[in-house]
Amino acid sequence: MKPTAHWKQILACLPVLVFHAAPATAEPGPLPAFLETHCLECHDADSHKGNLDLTALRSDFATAETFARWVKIHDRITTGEMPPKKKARPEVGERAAFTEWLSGSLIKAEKALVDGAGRTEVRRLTRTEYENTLRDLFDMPGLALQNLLPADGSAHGFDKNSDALDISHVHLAKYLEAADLTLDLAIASQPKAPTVQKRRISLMNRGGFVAHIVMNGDGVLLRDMKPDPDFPASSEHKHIDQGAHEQIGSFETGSTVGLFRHEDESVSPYFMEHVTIYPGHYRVRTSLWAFQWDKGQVLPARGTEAARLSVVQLTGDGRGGQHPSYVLGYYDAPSLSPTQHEVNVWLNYNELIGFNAASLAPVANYNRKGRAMAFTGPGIAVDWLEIEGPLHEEWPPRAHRLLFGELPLKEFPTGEQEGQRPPVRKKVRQLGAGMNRPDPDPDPDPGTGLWSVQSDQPLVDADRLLAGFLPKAFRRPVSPEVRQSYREIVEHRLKAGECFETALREAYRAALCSPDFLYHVEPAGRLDDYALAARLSYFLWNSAPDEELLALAAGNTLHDPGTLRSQTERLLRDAKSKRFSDDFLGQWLKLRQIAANDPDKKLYPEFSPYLQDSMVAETRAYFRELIEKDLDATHLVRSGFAMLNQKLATHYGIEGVIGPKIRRVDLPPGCPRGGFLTQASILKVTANGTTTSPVVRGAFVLDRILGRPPEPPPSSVPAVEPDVRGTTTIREQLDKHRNDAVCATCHAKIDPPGFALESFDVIGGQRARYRSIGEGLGDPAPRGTIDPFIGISFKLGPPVDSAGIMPEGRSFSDIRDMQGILAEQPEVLLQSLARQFLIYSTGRDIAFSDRAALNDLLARTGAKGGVRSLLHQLIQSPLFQTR
Amino acid sequence: MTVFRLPQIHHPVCLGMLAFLCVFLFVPAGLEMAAAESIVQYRVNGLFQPDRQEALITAAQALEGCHLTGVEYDTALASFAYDPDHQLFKNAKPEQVLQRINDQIRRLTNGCFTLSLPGKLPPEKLVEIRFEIEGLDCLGCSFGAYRAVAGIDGVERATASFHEGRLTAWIDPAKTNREALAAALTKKEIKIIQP
Repeated sequence: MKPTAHWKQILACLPVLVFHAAPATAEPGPLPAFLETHCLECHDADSHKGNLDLTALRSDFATAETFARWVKIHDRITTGEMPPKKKARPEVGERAAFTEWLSGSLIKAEKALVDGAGRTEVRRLTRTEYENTLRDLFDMPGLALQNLLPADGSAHGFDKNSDALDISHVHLAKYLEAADLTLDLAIASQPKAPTVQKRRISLMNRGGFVAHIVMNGDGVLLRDMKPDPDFPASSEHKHIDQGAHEQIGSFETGSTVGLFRHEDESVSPYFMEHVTIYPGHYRVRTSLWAFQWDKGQVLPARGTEAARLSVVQLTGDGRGGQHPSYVLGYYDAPSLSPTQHEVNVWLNYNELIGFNAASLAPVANYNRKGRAMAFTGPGIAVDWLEIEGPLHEEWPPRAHRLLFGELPLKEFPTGEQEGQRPPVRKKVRQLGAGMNRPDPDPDPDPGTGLWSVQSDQPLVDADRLLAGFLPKAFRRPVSPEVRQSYREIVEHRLKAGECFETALREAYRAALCSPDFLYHVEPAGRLDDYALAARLSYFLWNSAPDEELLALAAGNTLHDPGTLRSQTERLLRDAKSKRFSDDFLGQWLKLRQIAANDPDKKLYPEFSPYLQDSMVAETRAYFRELIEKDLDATHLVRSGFAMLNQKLATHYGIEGVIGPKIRRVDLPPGCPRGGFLTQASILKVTANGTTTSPVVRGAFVLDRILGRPPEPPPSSVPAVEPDVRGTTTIREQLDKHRNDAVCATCHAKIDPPGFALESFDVIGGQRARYRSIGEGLGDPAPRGTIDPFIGISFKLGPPVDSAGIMPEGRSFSDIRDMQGILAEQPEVLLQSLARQFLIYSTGRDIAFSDRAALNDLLARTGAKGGVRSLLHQLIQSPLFQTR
Repeated sequence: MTVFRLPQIHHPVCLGMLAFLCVFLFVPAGLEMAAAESIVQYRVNGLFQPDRQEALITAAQALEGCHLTGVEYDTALASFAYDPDHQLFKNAKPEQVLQRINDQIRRLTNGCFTLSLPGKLPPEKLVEIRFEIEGLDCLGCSFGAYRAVAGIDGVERATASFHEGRLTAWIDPAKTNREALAAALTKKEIKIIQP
């Protein structure tokens, strides 16, 4: 099969997709007697309550819309929701007979629809899967490709769903670009590894933000834990002329930099003297400590502070950085005790290390009278940052060996091989203010300085190398015919005058843009072992299967339940499983939207990026704890512990947690924290930065936690506008809305969990009264746990009412009651989580005909079964092992 | 500290004729100079405190094709001997000699020092302007204060020290005046103490 043949195969699937969307032509048939007796009165052509007219509903189940309508009818009748309580109830047997008939008809229709094609339609890799796959394939763990590609869509809550994974010419262009970038990085272009440079850097860089703010009083230089005598702290006078200080070397004395403020829109500290030229592994070390500054004196700190290191991508021209590309971590800065931290990190071209005195308040002495010499408050000291790299265990690196094996790198002999074009190399240069420089050209005398892989028997070597590469890239064996088609690319390029490296590179480029690489190749019906290996690894690692999985697939042993179980355990224990938890939570609990809005600074002045990162870290750690300890599904809503660091514990009003590291903390009795429901991350993604809405939060709970998504709101009903002045509570506003008969039915289900969550504000802080910023409204707010260096201007408005009544009439008084009610339904919670795992791992929604298998795996897990057990049962189930 | 004086000569051309004398009369032990070298004298910009002489001398040790033979803080003049046969100076005109030594000095000192031709006005004709100033006792700040006035056309020499609370400038009164200097200092947010 040629590389393009698979594209044809995919195109051949299009009629199936079209069939799904095709309108049915069948006319409405005669209604079953049950519906005529019990339903038609309210759902005929005249009444059509709930916008349902049974007389117009087709009965052939052929279209997705009709099918979904019948499923809804089935579910409403099965649960007893319909007919409504005030109407005559059907006999149990009568109801069972009808639902059994309807269920059978629906399953039969669905199976007819998917037979032959498989339930999971053809789907490509998501951006995340694509990036992870290339990172693992080439052993380049920080390769950054996601942002090159168009954003993925989302269906049924996840981007892995085939319904959302379209492909366009833009994708293809970007895949080519990404493949080129990957191959550029993978192919060694010099005979020796780039020189390892080790540099100790001050945060007080030339031309940087830090020098500027320190000169103006937002920091100081320290020597031996005292003010630097050669650089007095600014006072009534500030340091003048940054350029003069830079020229004369005031910032190159090796002094420690002490900062009094965290990063914000106006200040983004970087260690500017290293800007990465050679992508690769780097060892980063830093020395941090905390202190109390008292108008010129360095005293013991109030406690352990936290500093953040991040990786920042400079803008194209190398002049400035944007928000951190990603956070490396938060690190302890203990009182007057310099503490070294080390992290190994992959840095890409033009990346550097950013710094944030994260746990400090947004203090600004900048224009304050007396500046630093009038300031008393906490500071974080950075002695230095040391960066060493690029570090290569071997040269050429593994990525190069994957492509070219042991073929030698030789200087390109232009003169001796006339007519052969040399490989194209990008000039390596320093774009930023880094003091690290590119290596000089390797031994340019008397050669060309251009090094490339050479082969004495190009086609033989190409065939051998492709035979090794293609199965790894395609995650399954590759037939000789397919390999031959790639070999022909090499042959063609060689004839066109390309050198061996370029010719073979063209074949690799084609492979990385082929459907075999870009798509999940799964046979219809039961997955073969290779497809199972891929499904398992893309589920738990979000990446391609490793050699061990592929070896088991080759031996046809992966389907063995014992083997599959041990492999599931192995994957879960591996660090790469963090990709699963991060990606899954990013979508299931919408953590990807954590920064979708910035909380109002007047209402929530205590909010900071450190708090936000801690929120996400809590939820991720909690989820991993559920898996690690195999905790049951009630932990989705209630728990006796939480995963906290000092920042979050303070935010939650829990004492005794010191430092930025997330750890398991037992909660005091009566504390509503623990469980996703009351985690600050969830409370933030379900708020708009200014106000909370019981509707939004209630809908989130129904959809994401209970797996019972509410109906979308009718387009004719306007949204409730928040009142930030604090005169009207959201409950008062909603009451008007709920009194509308059209809205009442749905809101009776949606609002109760949302009302219970009203006791938490937009950043997840617990509250008894709403905050307000209206003039003359409310009472002065107590500081509570808010940092004393943060100004407070909000007031306390009306009290929060977190009580309510569940649809079945049960009342609750607060969030603890609500957690209790929800925790009484472990089977509902477990089923909801199972559904989310299934959608995520199989790339499709749960079909009506999947319900029996789903119930079966839930029964095998047991209502008290843990999350890890659920994962095992799911992976062993036919739902997971069938396309 | 290697500090020594040369007779004050205002035109670099004259210096060549005096090279022979300089070798024997003014070069201290340890600083040897080839007989074929030429001597030039320039004004040093950046010599705002006495201890900056040492920074200049240290940096000048890395000069190529030439070397520093003397520097005088009180006049801000420095003498350099260069090898006319060195590739940097071969067939170089006087202004090219200045440019090439200046380029090296600027690079070696990160721009803290630069060279220019000495002013034409005799020292006795310069007017001394003195400001009492307030600010942080920091080398960088003093340099900043110096830079605030040193670049003004007509300022032949300046010194600055927040430690002493003083900035002094020697100016050509035909080109600038006290008010211009005060304005430059104020613009840099340097507080001048009014007498």
